[in-house]
Amino acid sequence: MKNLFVCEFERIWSKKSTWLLFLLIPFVILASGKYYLSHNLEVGLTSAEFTSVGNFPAATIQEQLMTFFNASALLIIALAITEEYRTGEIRMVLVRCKSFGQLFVCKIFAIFTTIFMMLITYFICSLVIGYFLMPRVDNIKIFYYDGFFTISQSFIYGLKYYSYSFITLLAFASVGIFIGIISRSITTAIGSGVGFLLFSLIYPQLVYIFSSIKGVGTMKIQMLSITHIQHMGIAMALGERSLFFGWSTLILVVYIVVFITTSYVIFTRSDKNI
Amino acid sequence: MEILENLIKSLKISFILILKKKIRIKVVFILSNTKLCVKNLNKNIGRRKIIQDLSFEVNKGDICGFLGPNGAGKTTTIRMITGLIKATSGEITISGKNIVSNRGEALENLGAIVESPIFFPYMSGRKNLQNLARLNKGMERKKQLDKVEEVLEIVGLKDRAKDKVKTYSLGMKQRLGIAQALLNDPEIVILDEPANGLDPMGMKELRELIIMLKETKGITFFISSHLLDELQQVCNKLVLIKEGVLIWTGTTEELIKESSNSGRLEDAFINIMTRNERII
Repeated sequence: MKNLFVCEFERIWSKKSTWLLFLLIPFVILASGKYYLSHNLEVGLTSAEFTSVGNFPAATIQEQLMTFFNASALLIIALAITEEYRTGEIRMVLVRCKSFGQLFVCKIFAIFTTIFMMLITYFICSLVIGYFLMPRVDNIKIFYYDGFFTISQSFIYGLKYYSYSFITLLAFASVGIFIGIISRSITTAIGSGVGFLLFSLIYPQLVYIFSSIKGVGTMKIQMLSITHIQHMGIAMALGERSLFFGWSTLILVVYIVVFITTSYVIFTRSDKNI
Repeated sequence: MEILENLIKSLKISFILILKKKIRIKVVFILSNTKLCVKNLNKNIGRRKIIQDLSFEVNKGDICGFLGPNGAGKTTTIRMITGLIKATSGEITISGKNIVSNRGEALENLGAIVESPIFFPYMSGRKNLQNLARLNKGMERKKQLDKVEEVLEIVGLKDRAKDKVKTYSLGMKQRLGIAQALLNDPEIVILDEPANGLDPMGMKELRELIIMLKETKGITFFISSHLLDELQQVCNKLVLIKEGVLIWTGTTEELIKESSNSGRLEDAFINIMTRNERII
């Protein structure tokens, strides 16, 4: 099992695209930092929107989770699953491993580990770039908190934010894995994945427009979208009053369980494409 | 106390019986010459019967050709033998190990190229093999890497091993395919259309490689191909199927003797296929 995992992990890292995604991280953070520097001019020092060294890691990932990270996850999945499955490359591994189930488990663990490593790299890079780029403020305002945070408190908040971000990425990757397995080509996999991503982005707006009463119920329905949880839900869940923490966690767990289980069943039972 | 003693006694007896049975089974397999045994194999896809009651055996040291017209079910059979797809019914054993109930151990004795040899194009030939060698059970990494160099040497690809597979010719990919099939020191190697797209030189090299591996390493081969002249030169045994049904099985000499006046396998094959009957 360990060898199979290493085998899968090694293949993901043998692709130039994986390295390219990692190399893009500092540039994405720099671009994000430049945006926040200009945005700081429009907001006050005591605003939660003001980005400083302390809250930069959480601020910079908030937008990039929905775009850069979700898109990266889709690409990694399409190349690690759809391409190997559809070109027949996977047969070489299948004729060597004990079961299809083992291969599936190792494959998704290799993908999840890569995503986790991306997130860690992003966190470290955002700390370093934030240190040199962003202004230093002693009292940091964080979304959904009444008081102010010190630098060390905001660092711990950042760690929590990234941990929860990882769960949202697992949920998105689970949908991506399902799409990757049922798609007949990489183009279809990436196209369908992007379609799901766009729908997830539009869906909360549609719910808001068409709901007659804008209350807790509407917000809960909006939270059915993974990207909405990534955009607002994490900050709300980690806020002082832990708004919708249970609900958004439940939604993410349901996404992971439903899509991973379905993908597992398709991967292990269907043999028409091998 | 007495009950406990009786229980221990009966457990001891059961254990000895199980051990005896296991040893007996093992002895039978060790003595058995059969490397591949296909018994009453059936595969249905929807209502279509792709393979019907197929049975044959391949013995140690055989180079067995697997023949049939297009759509006869050769690749489907090979996919079932290699455990890629499940049979509707029937049994496949590789060196005595059932491919369904004992998949892991069965595959330890098997090397295969199923359809064309497709590799990870973004990796070099050596890196492809090193990656797949990780799945060699119970082998240290150092030994795995040594094995990779050994198989590269056998197939004559050492000079080009560092190049990306996407730069390889079809002949080189076929040789790399054989190299990956040899990574786990298999007792039997299954090759599905290994000579497809090869030029005459490539075919000759492949033929010589198969014969050399059989003679030096005692590897049994099961080869599916349409190139009958090639098969005639290497195979001592043949299995012929048509529309998923076994038509003929026996030695190459017997088939040619029975069904060809010209002494060519191609004529024998055409004769037997057009006769439209089962001659077993």
